[in-house]
Amino acid sequence: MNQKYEFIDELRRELIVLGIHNSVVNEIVTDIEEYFENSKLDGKPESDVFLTLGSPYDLAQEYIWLKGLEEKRDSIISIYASIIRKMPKMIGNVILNFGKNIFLIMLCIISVFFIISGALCIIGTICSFFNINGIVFEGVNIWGTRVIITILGLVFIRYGYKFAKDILKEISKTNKLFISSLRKKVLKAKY
Amino acid sequence: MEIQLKKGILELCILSLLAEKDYYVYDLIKEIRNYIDMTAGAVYPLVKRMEHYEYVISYCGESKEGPLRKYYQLTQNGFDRYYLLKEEWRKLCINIDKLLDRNEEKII
Repeated sequence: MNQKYEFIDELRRELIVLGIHNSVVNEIVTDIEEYFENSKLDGKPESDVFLTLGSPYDLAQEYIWLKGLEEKRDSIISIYASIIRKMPKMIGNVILNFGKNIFLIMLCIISVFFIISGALCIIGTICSFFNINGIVFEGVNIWGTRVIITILGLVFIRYGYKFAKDILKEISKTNKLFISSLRKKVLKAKY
Repeated sequence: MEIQLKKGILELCILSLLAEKDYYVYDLIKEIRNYIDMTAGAVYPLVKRMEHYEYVISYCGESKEGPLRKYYQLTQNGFDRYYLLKEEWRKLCINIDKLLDRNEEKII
C-alpha cells in the first residue's frame, strides 16, 4: 500500500519538475489513482500494476508534451469566443461563396439563352414553310439553309441544356460543401 | 512485439474501440490487451494527448461498481482521424506484405 503512495508522490514530483501545470498534474495523478483502484477491484496484485505502469520517471516522460500548456477551459464563454475569433474567416467564406454563386447563376442564364436561340432557329425554319402574319422568309427559303439552321438550333439546345444541367449540379455541390464546412467549423469551436 | 511498433498502432486501436462505444481507460486497456500486449503506462498518456487534440472528450459517468468514472467519447474529429488512420494502416499492410514477399523470394 505504501508503495502505491510512493509511486504517486514520485510521479507528481517528476511531472512538476517537467514544468507541467498544476491542475494538469492533478488530472494525471487522478487517472493513475483510478487505475490502481480498478486493478484492486479486479483483484490484481499491486506488483502487476507497477509492472504495467513502468517507473514514475518513464511515465512522467510520456507527458512531456504537456509542458507549459494551460488547463483547457470549456466554459460557454470560451466556446463563443472561439466562434467569434473564427467569424472574419467565416464571413469571408460566405462572401466568397456568394460571389461564386452569382457567377454560376450568370453562366446558367447564358446557357438558357443558348437554348432559347436554338429554339428560335427551329421555329424560324418551320415558319419558313408557311407565310405567317405576312412575314416572308426569303433568306431561308432554300433547303440548304433550312437544314443548316435546324442542325444549328438542335446543337444549341443540346449543349445549352447540358451546360445548364452541369452548372446547376455545380451550384448545389458548392453550396452543400460550403454548408457542411461551416457546420464542421462551428462544431470544432464547440469542442 | 517491438515497443515502438506497438506504440505506433496504439492510437488506431484506441480510436477503433471508441468508435464502437464509450470507454473508461481501465476497460480500454483490458480490451486492448485482448489483441496486443500493452502497458497501462503507454495508454494513459496517449488518451490524454488525444483529448488534447480533441479526438476524444471525457465525461463523468456512473459504473456498476460504484465510483464515478471518466468516460471517453469520440468526437467528429476523432472519427475523421479514425477513418484516416484505418485507411493508411490498410495500405501500409498491403505494401509491407508486398515488400516482405519480394524479399522472401530473393532469399529463397
